[in-house]
Amino acid sequence: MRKELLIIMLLLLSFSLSFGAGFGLYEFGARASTLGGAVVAQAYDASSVFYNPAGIVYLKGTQFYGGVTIITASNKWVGPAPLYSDEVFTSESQIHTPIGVYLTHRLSEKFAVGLGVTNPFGLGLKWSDDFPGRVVSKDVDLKSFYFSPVIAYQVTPGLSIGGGVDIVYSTVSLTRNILFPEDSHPGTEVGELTLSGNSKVSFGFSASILYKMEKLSLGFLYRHSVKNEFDGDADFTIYDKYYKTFLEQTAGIVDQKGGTEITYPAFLSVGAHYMITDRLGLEFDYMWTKWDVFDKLVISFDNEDLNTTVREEYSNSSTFRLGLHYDLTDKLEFRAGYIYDQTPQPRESMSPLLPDNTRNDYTLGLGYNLGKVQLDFGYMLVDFGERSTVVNGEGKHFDDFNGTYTGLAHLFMFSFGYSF
Amino acid sequence: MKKVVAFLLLLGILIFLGCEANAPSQASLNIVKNQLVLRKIAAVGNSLTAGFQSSGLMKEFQKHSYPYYIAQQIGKADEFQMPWVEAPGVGTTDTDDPTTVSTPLYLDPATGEIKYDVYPASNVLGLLSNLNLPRPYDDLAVPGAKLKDVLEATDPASSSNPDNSFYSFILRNPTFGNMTMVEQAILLNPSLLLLWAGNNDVLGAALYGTAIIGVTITPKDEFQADFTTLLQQIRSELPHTAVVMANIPYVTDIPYVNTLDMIFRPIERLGITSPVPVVFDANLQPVVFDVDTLGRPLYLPLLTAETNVAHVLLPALSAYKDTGLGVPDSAAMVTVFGFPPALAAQLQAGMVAAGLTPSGTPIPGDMTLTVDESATIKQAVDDFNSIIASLSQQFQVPIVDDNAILSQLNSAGGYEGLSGYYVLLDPQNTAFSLDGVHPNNAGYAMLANEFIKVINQNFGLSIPAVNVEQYKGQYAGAGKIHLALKAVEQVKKLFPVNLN
Repeated sequence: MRKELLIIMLLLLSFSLSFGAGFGLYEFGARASTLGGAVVAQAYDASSVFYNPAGIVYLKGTQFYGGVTIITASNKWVGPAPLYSDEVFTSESQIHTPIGVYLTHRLSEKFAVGLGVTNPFGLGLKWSDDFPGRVVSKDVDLKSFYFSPVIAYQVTPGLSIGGGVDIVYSTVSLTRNILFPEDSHPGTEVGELTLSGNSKVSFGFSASILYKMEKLSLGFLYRHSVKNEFDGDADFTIYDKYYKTFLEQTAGIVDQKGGTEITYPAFLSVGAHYMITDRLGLEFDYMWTKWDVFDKLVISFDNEDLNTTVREEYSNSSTFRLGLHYDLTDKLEFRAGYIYDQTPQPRESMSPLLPDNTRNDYTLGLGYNLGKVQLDFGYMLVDFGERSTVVNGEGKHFDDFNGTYTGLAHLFMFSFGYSF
Repeated sequence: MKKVVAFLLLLGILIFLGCEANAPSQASLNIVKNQLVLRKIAAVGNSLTAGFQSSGLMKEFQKHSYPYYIAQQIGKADEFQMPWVEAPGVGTTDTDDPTTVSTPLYLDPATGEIKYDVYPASNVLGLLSNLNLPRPYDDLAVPGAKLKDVLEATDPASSSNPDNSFYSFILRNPTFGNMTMVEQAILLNPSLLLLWAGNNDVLGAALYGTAIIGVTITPKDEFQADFTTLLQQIRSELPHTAVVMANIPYVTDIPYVNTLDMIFRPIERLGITSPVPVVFDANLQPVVFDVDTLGRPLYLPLLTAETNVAHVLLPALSAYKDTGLGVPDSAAMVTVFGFPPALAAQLQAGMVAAGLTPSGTPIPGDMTLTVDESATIKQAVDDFNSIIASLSQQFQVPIVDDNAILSQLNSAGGYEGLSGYYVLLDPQNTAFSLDGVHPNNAGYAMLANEFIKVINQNFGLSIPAVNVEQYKGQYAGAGKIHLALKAVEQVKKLFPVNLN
């Protein structure tokens, strides 16, 4: 019962959104995030449960660290001439709040355990009812919850290894208008479909290494992919017009069970942290995500005639992270970071469901240490730039919904740490 | 410390409030806006839009319908779905046996005869090869449909002809939620809608030789109201669709009606100054029975139930050949023409010797059109076309002037290398199929070109024309042609009229 309550509370609290390339997220601690996520070679706070479990063996006693990232994002779209006017459509403003909550406990000099709750994959994007791409996607909301118990072991005074299990639960909701007949463009908009479902509990794992020297430390993290099978309800609303009887009774477009499958990709991070002076440290991380698991999005229904396959055809992608921290005083730490986040999404599958692009992220933050209490604040600007499915006058989109997209997001990060 | 935090928060809020994504710059696709008109074609109407030929429907014919030709010319033939009727096709000839169905008419290559075959009615549905297409057909035209049927019919029972099973074939109700022809077309949301309706609101008058407003001809007020409703519905539900429609040819300009015009002659020797149908030979040439000293030929008038006959319809030809319908016998020559009995007997013997059958039976009124009936039909077509012309202005829908085209086809030089003659007279160049009412492959190709001209002109496009020449001579191999009465008369089965 308590576990269920916890899940419900987390569901209410947590809205996730895509802020790593694709629909990945990496912002689960204000300090780590303001360092551009370049922390795999550091063990600073309990968010190491997520960023590098091997590091928790260096955290004294029992530690709590938790926080939230408040995300506001806007996506814009303009359709290609001469199919569309130059009217620009903007996604509806939504606030998303992924969380990172951790607890670690050192059992002995060599052993530590920890638990983390994070939302490493997610997506949320809603367009207005008059948005021309509403038959592709009108509203999407994907949330993932990772419950990750971890353990770390210190092999030598400088070398530790760690890892854990990811117990994963996800929810998804996809809404779009329905076009009939779908194979005969342009067709008629005849209603709306919402597919909403919950995944079965799935499992993944993580494994990591942290090697600390006097000024230089090296880190490595691998997090395995997680396949999620969603079962849910497909709710169809057919407009009350002359075709309603046909679509419901003959074409079988009525409320029924529906489902889909989404695999969260495996990724690995390697990084090096170096203390340039006593006060100034710098870290550079490289992250590789095996996005090719997101090849297609298959939506299945009881009525198999309605099954749809959306081609995604993602490629594996690289992310480069740079973070810098400087002690302004004994208590106050200044942080800044930069991320170059390569998109895994081919131009052909860029759509209102997820218009991705290679991003440049800039971060700034401050940490304040009051002894037992740690307070971290940060801000990240995510610049998607501009990307079009039209190249040299050719529409490239797989389903022929072309356009040019821009995106920008602001992330405000707050975390609170406490050492027992 | 507090100041720094406050500053950061303020900065963040300012950015949050002030900074959205830049507006994306608009890309351009390498397409001409006008070409969007050609993304998706749909067609509604009657047999002429369905690709009906030689009293039947089959894939061979449908692939030579004008909507299909147009789809082909714009590279959309593969996706253009008609209700494909596989061989041997569905004919409309009444087999007098409800368990059987006829094929369309065909030319027997061995004998040159126009024939049809018969097969079990239970096999008909199996011929529709895309019966389960899960969307409306792109060509929804139903042979036999009147204007009102385009708007209102969902099945045979709700149509103007409850025996016309083509409605079931093409509209597929109740499966399609009892959607009408126009509703199904609207659901397809075509970018180009071809609309040719109204021919059957007057054709029955010609086929039945009976022109009665309200019976064989739709009253013009009703025609106007229905056509207005139809265009209103299309315009309100398909505001972005380009619509092209065609007007109505004079239904007396078809071989079914005008082939036997060539047997009309004045007969001065009998005091007949206006041309009347006269006894003719196997080559449709009036027979000269005698020439007097003044050089005046003697023709013998055919017996007709109606007076002031303007046209003798094609079915009379086969009846003439088979049973001597209309051929005067000696008794008629005495009583009707006032010939001396001896002369009458001599003429009758001569006719028998020439292979004619003097029956003394007048050609019934439903096989002839009188001068008045022809005028009524012409007036009705003119009324309909002026309604269509004014609606064209009101709804900004361009018109293909098929009335003018058919008139030209009937002129001495023909049109676009085609003639308006019946197969019997011009198998190489005729634009008409074996039923004498509907075009053949070349005729439909010519019609497609007329639509293409209007589409190109009105939407700034350059769809290439169909090469009519390659479809000509469909019946070129035809030898001696024999007409079975049934084979010609069946056309009428689409248009049953209660004349009582």
